[in-house]
Amino acid sequence: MDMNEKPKVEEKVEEQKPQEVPEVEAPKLPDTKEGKLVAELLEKAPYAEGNVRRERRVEFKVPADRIKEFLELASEKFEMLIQISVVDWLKEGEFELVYQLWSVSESVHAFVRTRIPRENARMPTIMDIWPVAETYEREAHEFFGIVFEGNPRLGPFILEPREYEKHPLRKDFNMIGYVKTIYGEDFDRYDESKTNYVI
Amino acid sequence: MESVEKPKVRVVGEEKVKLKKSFVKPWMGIKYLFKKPVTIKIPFETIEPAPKYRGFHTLNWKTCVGCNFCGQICPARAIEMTWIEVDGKMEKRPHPKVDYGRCTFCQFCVDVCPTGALGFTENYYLTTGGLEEDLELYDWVPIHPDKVREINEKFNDYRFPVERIEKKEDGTYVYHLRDGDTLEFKILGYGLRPPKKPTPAKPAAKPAKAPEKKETPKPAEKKEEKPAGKVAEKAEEKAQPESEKKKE
Ligand code: SF4
Ligand code: SF4
Repeated sequence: MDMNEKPKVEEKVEEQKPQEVPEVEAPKLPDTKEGKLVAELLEKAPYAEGNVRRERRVEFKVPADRIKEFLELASEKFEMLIQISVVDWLKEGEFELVYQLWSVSESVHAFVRTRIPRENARMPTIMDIWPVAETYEREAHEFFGIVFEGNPRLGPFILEPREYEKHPLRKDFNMIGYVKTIYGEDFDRYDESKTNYVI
Repeated sequence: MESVEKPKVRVVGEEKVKLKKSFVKPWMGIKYLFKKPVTIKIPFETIEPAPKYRGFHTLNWKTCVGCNFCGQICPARAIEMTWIEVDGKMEKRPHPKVDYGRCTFCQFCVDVCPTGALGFTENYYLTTGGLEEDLELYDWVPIHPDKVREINEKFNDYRFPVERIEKKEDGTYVYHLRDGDTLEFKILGYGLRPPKKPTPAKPAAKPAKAPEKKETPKPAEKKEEKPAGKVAEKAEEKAQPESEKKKE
């Protein structure tokens, strides 16, 4: 099996129908602390969409070009950046970046979502807002190949040299194919081959 | 900003948790010098694993229907379906073969088994040398629970019930159980499809269903997609009939 063979994961992605979350045009914000928090932020940032998921969980959708502006505003209330997680939507050809923020003063967890195209993915760094973003950005760079402009340390980080620049968490990375190129066609000790996945 | 009320939190005062440093207090650890040490002298004492401690598997070959549910749920992909021939007769259905090199002992396979054929025991000891024939021990078709229970009652040391797995050239496996019994069978092939050579007509037809199952989602998916595509096309038709024609 060679590396360029179509990974099985891709089929799975296509099986899923594009689950469009029914977007409420004007989400009524509840009269809770979360609702107020979102309303407050949206007032300053009208380009974003925001709604309250449930208690202590709020969600924002921001266009990619204004993400830095928005996060700077949000950092007044959300003092902590927990994680930058990346979702690869292969079919739509987009990466979804989810900045997960935590408000220490309000105990509210916020998702700030933004979508960027998969090819030549570029984002501005947010190191100057939360210095910890350096590490998260390095990780996202290494596993997905997103370039964070302004981050000085986007070099080899976790992966071994032979895996570097391969971006293994992308959906079009063929895991079994890659493992077979490294360990040979059949990496089982016993007679049977356990390299075909049935799920 | 004042509109958002602050959550009420209780903070323990620092004076309550901060300890004063001391030169004397570390010596209070000496009091354990004269107490009975808390230890289990393993070769001389034994420990009882908890009931339902997750250990090695057992399989009732009579009730296993070869559905491969266990193989599908296994997070470590440790289960491979195996076609077995006992006393010159091939079993109608494949049985799981568990590879303890991969198994994480999560026992998901036991939970998912619809017939309860796959079970587990509290046995957890398995040590071998590094030779190839020793390592054969880690890959077995689990044996009947009653047999394991019998061996457990005899030895009661929670070891793997098989002492040695002898593998012959023609695919015959001999399990030398710890109480001296042997279990002999032949492995004809692996996977969901029955092995090619001795295809008896009947089992060939039935288990073939299982691999087909994998393919069934695809037509279904196509069906699902088609109406969606048609709707989209229709929408396009209304908007720009030319683009639709181009497609066709
Ligand atoms: S116990 Fe878990 S890992 Fe082991 S064979 Fe069963 S499902 Fe697989
Ligand atoms: S799930 Fe149970 S019945 Fe099905 S193949 Fe596995 S052991 Fe046999």
